[in-house]
Parts: sequence; structure tokens; C-alpha cells
Amino acid sequence: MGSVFLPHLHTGWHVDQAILSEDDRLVVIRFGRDYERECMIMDELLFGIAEKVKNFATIYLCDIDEVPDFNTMYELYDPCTVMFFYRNKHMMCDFGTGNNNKLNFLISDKQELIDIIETIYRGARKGKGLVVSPRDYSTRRRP
Amino acid sequence: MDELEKELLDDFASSSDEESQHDGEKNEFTSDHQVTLPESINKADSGVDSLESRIEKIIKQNAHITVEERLRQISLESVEDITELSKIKPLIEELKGRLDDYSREENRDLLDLLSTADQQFKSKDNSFIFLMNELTQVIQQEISLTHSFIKFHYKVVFPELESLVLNPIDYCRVVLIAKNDLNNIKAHEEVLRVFLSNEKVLVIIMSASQHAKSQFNLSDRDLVFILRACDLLLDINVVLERITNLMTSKLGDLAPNVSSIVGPVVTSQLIIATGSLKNLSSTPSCNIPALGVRDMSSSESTRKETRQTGYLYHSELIRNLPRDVIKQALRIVSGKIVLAARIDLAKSLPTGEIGQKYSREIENKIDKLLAPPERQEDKALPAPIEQKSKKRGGRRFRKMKERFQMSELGKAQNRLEFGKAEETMTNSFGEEVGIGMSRGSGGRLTAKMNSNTMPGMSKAMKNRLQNSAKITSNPLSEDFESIILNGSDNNVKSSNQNEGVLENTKWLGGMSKRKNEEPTVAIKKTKL
Repeated sequence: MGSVFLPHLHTGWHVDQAILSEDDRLVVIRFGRDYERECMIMDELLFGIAEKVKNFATIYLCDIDEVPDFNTMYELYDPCTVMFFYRNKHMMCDFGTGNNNKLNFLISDKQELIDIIETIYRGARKGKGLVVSPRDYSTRRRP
Repeated sequence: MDELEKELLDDFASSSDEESQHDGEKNEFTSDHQVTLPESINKADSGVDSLESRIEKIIKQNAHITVEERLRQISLESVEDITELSKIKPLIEELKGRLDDYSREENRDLLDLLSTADQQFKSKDNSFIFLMNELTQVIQQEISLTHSFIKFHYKVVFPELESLVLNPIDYCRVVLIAKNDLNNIKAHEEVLRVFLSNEKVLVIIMSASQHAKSQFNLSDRDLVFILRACDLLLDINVVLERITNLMTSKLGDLAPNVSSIVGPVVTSQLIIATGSLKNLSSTPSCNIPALGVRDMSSSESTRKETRQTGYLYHSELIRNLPRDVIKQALRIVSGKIVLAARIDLAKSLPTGEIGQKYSREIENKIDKLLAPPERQEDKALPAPIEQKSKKRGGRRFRKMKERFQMSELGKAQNRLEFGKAEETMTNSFGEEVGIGMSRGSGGRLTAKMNSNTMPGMSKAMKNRLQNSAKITSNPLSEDFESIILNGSDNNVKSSNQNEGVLENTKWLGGMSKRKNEEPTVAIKKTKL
């Protein structure tokens, strides 16, 4: 359901514009396929918090089949990947999973997701490129 | 009218229990609210005259008598046949006929015209309604009187019945069914179920079967009297019902505003329960939902949320509401009913327009009660922007922090010289304390003591002390004291000679003692 209400980015240009145009907010983009189970769950979560975090983050969805431009650059091979950008800069986050570039696992709790976005936003405001996630997800990592 | 309304009409007499409590005050109202018939109408119809004048006479007689008083007048033991005492009994048949006539009448429009055309002379119809309105009180008195008679005499057969069935009408029906043999009451179970709840029927049958062994058999004569009283009570109840029906149909004239709020049926029920429109208008609104509650002691009612399942509860307005708003709706409606009743009493708005306005208000309020609570939007979280605090410590804060810091001495004491055993000393509490590097050779302190932790004095305190020092150094006061003290010294000296004066000067001696101490204090103060 969440994927219906959240804005989709249909071309590479749209993705670029979304990242470029936002001046003082974090841009959160979910790359994946709407019909996949993990994507559905993540979309539901993102839709649930979209209204709450609208002061410091915008959330977009992007279908990796429709827009394959970033697949190799960002290594988008997982069913669901969430990436963060701030002022045209890719924000990294140390989740303890080994991959600091993106959030490619499922999060069970809305508040956890809000906390992650908040932490990244704080770091981004201070000019940091890498922040440490408030929780360590090393044990929860999917195989 | 559907079944429920019919059932409610049956229940009118149930309110007579409560009525009897209020009778005293009610009669005060009725005494100045007598309806007198216009002479012309009385004369025009001589056949009618007798009935109406007789009713009036009864009402007048009863105006100042409560049920309790009447019970006192006629001791129940001595009375064998209550039916002979009944004032209404001779009128019942005639009344029934009249009521039927009135309710059958189609040409109400003409009567309405008449009544509006000439306010002075109320139409025959109207005056009869007013008369009936008054009569309901008498009827209810009569019902409770008869009920207490039956209770008194039937007690020997089935003592528990009166606490099991509080409603006088139901009580009579049970008595009529059970009669003298409680053993066979089970056979009448189906009949009992018609007017009592299953639960009640079960309880009655159980307790009846228990009492059957020790039952007292009434003589046929006594039983006949009891049954006759029961018949009378039911008859009177029928008249009451008829009056209610009549009033319901003619309430447009009597209480247009109230009936436009809750409808004619409930209006007539309320008016009859309170006794008259005047009484209804002077009833507190919180009492209105309780009117017509069938059985206050029933366990059924306590299980529900609202206990006040009276006429208003069963009205069209309230009945279909969900449970959680019923209580509030009852309050809203009953408040408006009393207001409307007052307007009706004053006859300021005979068209009932204010009642319609009220009912619209009530509808709006109930709609608001029924509306689901508005969904609250998710409140956006504030952006987590960290701002540096604008507050700086300042001198005072720094000093305060310094006061809690560890002193140089303390730090030195915690340090140990390498390769040497630490010297110890016993402190004032008798504990052994390591000296560390705090003392050099010969026990001399190596570090400075922390001066910040010393007790200090605030500026204001210093000023105050200086001022007080000035006052003590005031030459005038000193002179005054010295004069007294010198005098006392003289006295002391003289007391050596004269023993009798000693006691007199004792306190002065004390004062001189204090004076001796004081100079040292003064010196200290001036130093500070």
C-alpha cells in the first residue's frame, strides 16, 4: 500500500533532480521493485514515517527495472535498498553490517528507522560523510 | 403504538411507589391548580355534570391528604373490604365510558377552534383533560392504598412476594394467579411469564415452593376480599391507562412544547408520573430519567450501564442510541423537557415552536455525541538541529565549580612516592589515613590548602554586620545601658547592706553579667 502513496521517480533524471533540488533535507530513496515482499514491507514502514520526518527528510521510491541507470554504480542487487543523500552527497552509515553505503536489510520498527534518519541528518548537518547507526545490525544481517 | 409502548403504559402505576413519597409536596401544588368548569357547560349537560362534579369533589378532598395519612386514618386490620372505601370505584364504569367517548371523538378541530377563540371559556374537551390530569394523582394514591391493603392481608400467605414484585399491578396479577395455594404456582408458569421476566418467575416459583409447607390458608371470605381488591386495583389501572391514552391524543393542547420534544406518549407518561404539568415543570431535570423506572432493585438494571430505564429511556429519541451516549443524551433531553414544561405551563407558546427548536438542538447535540472522534494527523517531528548553548558560565559559576574541585592537597595526598612505604596518620575520626606526597620531611605541608572551600561571607552579610556594629557603638544607647547598669551596680552594693532589696535587683544582676560578655562580641563584630 505504501508504495501507492509515496512519490515514484521514473527516470534517472528524476532521481538526479530529487537529490539535487533538496537543499536542507535528507533525501531517502528506496531502490527496488514494488511487488517484492521486502520492498512492500519497507514501503509500508517508509509511508508510515513519511509524515513524521517531513521536516528533515523526503522519501522517494525508485524501481530498479524502470531506472537501471544506478544499478551498477550503486550496486543495487538486493531486492530492497534504501540510500540516503544530503545536498547531492551520498551519506554513508555504519550499520555494523559491513556495507556502509546503503540500508539493504529490513527494519522491524518505525522508530528505529526514524532514529537512523535522524542520526544521518545530524551527521550530514555537521558535514560528515559517514555516521554510526544508533543500533548495531550486525547480528540481524541476512545471510 | 407498538408493543413496548403498550407495555410502558401498563407500567404507569409502577411509579406510584415513588409517588407516595412526593405526594405531600404535590398536593400543595394541586390545591391552587384546581380546574373549575365553566357554568354554562355544566348546565348544558346535566348527565355529565354529576360525574365531573363528583370527580372535582374527590380531587378537592384528596388535595391535602397523603397516602400515609389515609393509611393512618383507616387501620388496615380493621378494614375488611377496601373496595367499599375506594372513592373512585363508583366512578369507574362511567369514567370508562366517558374516556371512550372522548378518545373516539373525531371533531377535535372544532374544539381547538373553540378553545383558541375564547380563552376564558375552555372547551369542554380541554377542561376534561385538565380534570383527568388532576385525577391521575388521586388514582395513583388509590392504587398505592389498595396495594398496601393487599400486601397487608396477603402477607400471611406469601410474605416474600412483596419484596420480589415491587410493581403493584404485577403484584396483583401474581396474587390473582396464586390465590391460596402456592403449591400449584408452577402450573401457572406460562401465565406469569407474560408479564414478568423469566428470572423473576423462577425466583417466585422457588420461594413459593419453599413457603408452601408453612403456608397459612386464608379463609374463603378473606380471600374473596383480597381478590376483590386486586380486581379493583387492576380496574383502576385500566382507567389510568385510558386517561393516558386520552391525554396522549390530546396533548397538543396541554403540553405542545414538551410533546414536540419527546412525543405525546412519553409526555403523557411523564405528566402522569409527576402528577401534573405543574409538577413536571418543577421537577429537577436530574429526576426525570428516573420517572417510570420499573424496579429499582432489579439485578438486571445494575448490569447495564444506565440504571435509569424509565419512560425517557424507552422513548423513541433515546432507545436506539448506543449505550455509551445514552446517559448524556438522557441528561440533555431531560433538561430541555423541564424547560419546555415551564413554557407550556405559562402557555406563552401554544404552537410548540420552542419545543421544535429544542428538539433540533437535542438532535444536533446527539449527532455530535455520536460522531467519531476526529482523526489526529501525525505530527511532524522537529528537525534535529543541534544548536550551541548561548549560555556561558560566568565568574560565579566558575567559583562554584572550583569549590567542588579536589584541592591540591587532596591530589598530593593521593599520590605515592615510588619505591617508598607510605606514611600514615590517624585522623580526627580515629581512622588511619595515608599521607601520600602531601607532607614533606618533618610533616610540613607541601601543597597549599584549597582556599575556595573556606567558609566565606556574602557581601550583603558583611554589610549587615557592619551596620549592626555601628548601632552597638552608638554612644546614646551605650550611655543608656551604662546608666541602668551603674544604677544596678549601686543597688547590688547597697543590697549587701539591705537584704530585702536583693530579690528586686536579681534580674539587673543578670543583665550586668550579660553586659560583661557583650564587649568581646562587639569587638569581634567590628573586626569583621
